[in-house]
Amino acid sequence: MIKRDAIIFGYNEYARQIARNIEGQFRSVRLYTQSEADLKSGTDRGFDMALFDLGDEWDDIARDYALDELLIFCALEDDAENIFVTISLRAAFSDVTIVSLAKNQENVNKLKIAGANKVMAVLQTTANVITEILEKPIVTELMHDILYEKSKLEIAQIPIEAEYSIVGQSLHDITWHDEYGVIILAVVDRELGTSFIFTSKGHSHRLDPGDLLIVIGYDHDIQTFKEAIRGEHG
Amino acid sequence: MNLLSRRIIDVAYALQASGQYRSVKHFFHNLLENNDYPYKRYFDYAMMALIFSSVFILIREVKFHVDDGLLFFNNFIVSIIFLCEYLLRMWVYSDNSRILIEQYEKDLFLQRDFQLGLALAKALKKKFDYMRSVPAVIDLLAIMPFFHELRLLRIFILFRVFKLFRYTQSLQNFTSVLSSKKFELLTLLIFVAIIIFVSAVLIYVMEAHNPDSPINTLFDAFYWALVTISTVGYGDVVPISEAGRSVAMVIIVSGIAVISFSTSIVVSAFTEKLDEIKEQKLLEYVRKYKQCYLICGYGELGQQVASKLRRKGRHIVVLDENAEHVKRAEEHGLKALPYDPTSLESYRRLGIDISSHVMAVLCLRESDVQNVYTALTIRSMNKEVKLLSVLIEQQNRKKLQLAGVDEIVYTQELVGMSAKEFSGKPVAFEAIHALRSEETGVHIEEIVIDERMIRTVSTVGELCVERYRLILMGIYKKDLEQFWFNPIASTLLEAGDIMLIVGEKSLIAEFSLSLRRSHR
Repeated sequence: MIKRDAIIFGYNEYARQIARNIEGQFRSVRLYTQSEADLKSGTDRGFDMALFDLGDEWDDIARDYALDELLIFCALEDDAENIFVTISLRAAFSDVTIVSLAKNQENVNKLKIAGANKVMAVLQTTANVITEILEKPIVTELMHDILYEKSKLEIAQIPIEAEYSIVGQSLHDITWHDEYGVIILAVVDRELGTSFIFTSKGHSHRLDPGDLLIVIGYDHDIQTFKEAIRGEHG
Repeated sequence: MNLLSRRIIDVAYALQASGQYRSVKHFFHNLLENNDYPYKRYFDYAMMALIFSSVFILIREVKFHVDDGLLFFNNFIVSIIFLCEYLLRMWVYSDNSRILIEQYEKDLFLQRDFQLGLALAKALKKKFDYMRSVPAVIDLLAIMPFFHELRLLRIFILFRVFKLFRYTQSLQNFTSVLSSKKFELLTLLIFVAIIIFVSAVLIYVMEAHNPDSPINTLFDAFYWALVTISTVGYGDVVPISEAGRSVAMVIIVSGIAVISFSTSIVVSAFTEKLDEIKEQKLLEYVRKYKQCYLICGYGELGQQVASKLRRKGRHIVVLDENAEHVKRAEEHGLKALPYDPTSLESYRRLGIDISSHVMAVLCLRESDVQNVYTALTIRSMNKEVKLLSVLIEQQNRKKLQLAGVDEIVYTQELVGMSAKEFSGKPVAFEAIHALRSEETGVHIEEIVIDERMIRTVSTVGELCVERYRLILMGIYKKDLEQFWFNPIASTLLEAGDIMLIVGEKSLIAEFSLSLRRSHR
């Protein structure tokens, strides 16, 4: 389900960076804070702000948002509070997508147990990036360009539908994607859960309807490729 | 100025100006005295081998016939090598031409005649200072067996063993530890000497007139006193009179005091110097690294980064003022020093050449002020080394840039960008992260194309990546500074280009190896 609204818990530099980065992708982005001063400061800086406290029942969220279209970020300063808010949101809404920040490595698992769909381990992410900058500078630059759209190269998710001609073929058989200048990096087989089958490892994997192709290429090449796999059946 | 003085000064200036002379002298100085010089080690090993062979021949000669060739080797060759070493050490110890020139220029400045005698006396005094140093005296005694005709001098071969002190760092440490307690040891020695002297005289007076007593001479008395005070007590010479035994009781008690006193001096000296010795050892180890990362600040982020780099087999040196951080780094098996990363003195003590030995300096302290300060300290020494820093507060970014930091990592920004990608294309985002984290077994690696590879493959098509089940993501053309994504088969490869390859680690390694083989 496409997420249309986002809520961010916390009013710190993490929360503000998330808000600034995602504002173009959502209909609304609201920041929740516990402090009146932050509420005022955030409103003055143009953010959509609201107050909450840790004992909240989240009635206003249930009232204001369609839960299946909502993405929640927990970016509070204190990991303990983040865990508390995550567990409390999960208790109230079983289906909502929650992304939580863990400043400390040992809290990653706790947040997962608390019900976060994804945990961003701040320290680990930074350490990974630093190591990559030092050890694989070209890879870092390329990935950065692809992920954060700094160049024309893009990464796209293409769902395979039942009528596509490539259904039933193995990754090894599909060689014509080269003609379109795209690289099929991996496949997500929904039947096998959400783990990745990287093209270089899973040559014999047969494509099923519902699989998701992860493709890297230039924007127009990806479009042509999409059309080609759609058009091939007809 | 007379002709002789003129000639001597001319020679001194010529020597000072001669690049060849200076480089030869510099080479010998490094070889003999500079512990950081890589080849000194081999020289030391060779000299130690000579010493051991010399001692072996001495021992063998006592009961067996030794080949004349070996004796010649021992008496002449080894002695001549040691003599050369002695003279070379004396040569590099001081700079005579500099002393002469200094005196000449001083006299010129004061508008008086050049005092050749004074200058020569200064130069000779320097050399004499060297000759009377303990190691130099041992060196000289070790050459003595050269005069093999004097049989007594043969025993001087044993002085060669003392030369070992010159060549082994741990023995040098031992002497330096003991020399730090010179005063205490001297006091003890005087105390022991007085006790021995008094006891020996007393026992002689008490026992020597007694025909039944084994102590008949003053030598016997001194021998007995020394054997007793050292608590060895052979029992071959013992007092028999009551008065003599009373002296023995006093000396026995003194002996216990001497042993405990000397033990405590040595132990306390070692305890005090232990940290210093450990640090010295650590520095020696670090200086041997050909390439390493320098991490300034071992907080939580420092720990994470160090552990990741270590897993990739990189050498890491940690600098942190915080003793707890240093201790933790040591517990994690890293080489850590409690030095302040913002001080130039720290890098001087570290003694590594940043431009050639350090791959990158990482400023990972938890304060922008400290990171800027560290960056400026590094940049004041070296303009080229890669400098990476974390940014704690966004408003300080510019300051880090001005301080010369090449790569700035701002955690909050990374989180913001990750959030964006996750909300837009969650699966693609996860795929890229899975690839980067290397947890799935599939890696993305950079392979630099070198001259050797070019000899076997010249185009992308010839790489045959499919054979290894790899994906060629693209090629970074170094000369053009451009990345060519998914290049076509006819794309020409050049030395220096970097390939980005996706695949299983072992297959990537095999592929890379196959490229380096001359015949595929």
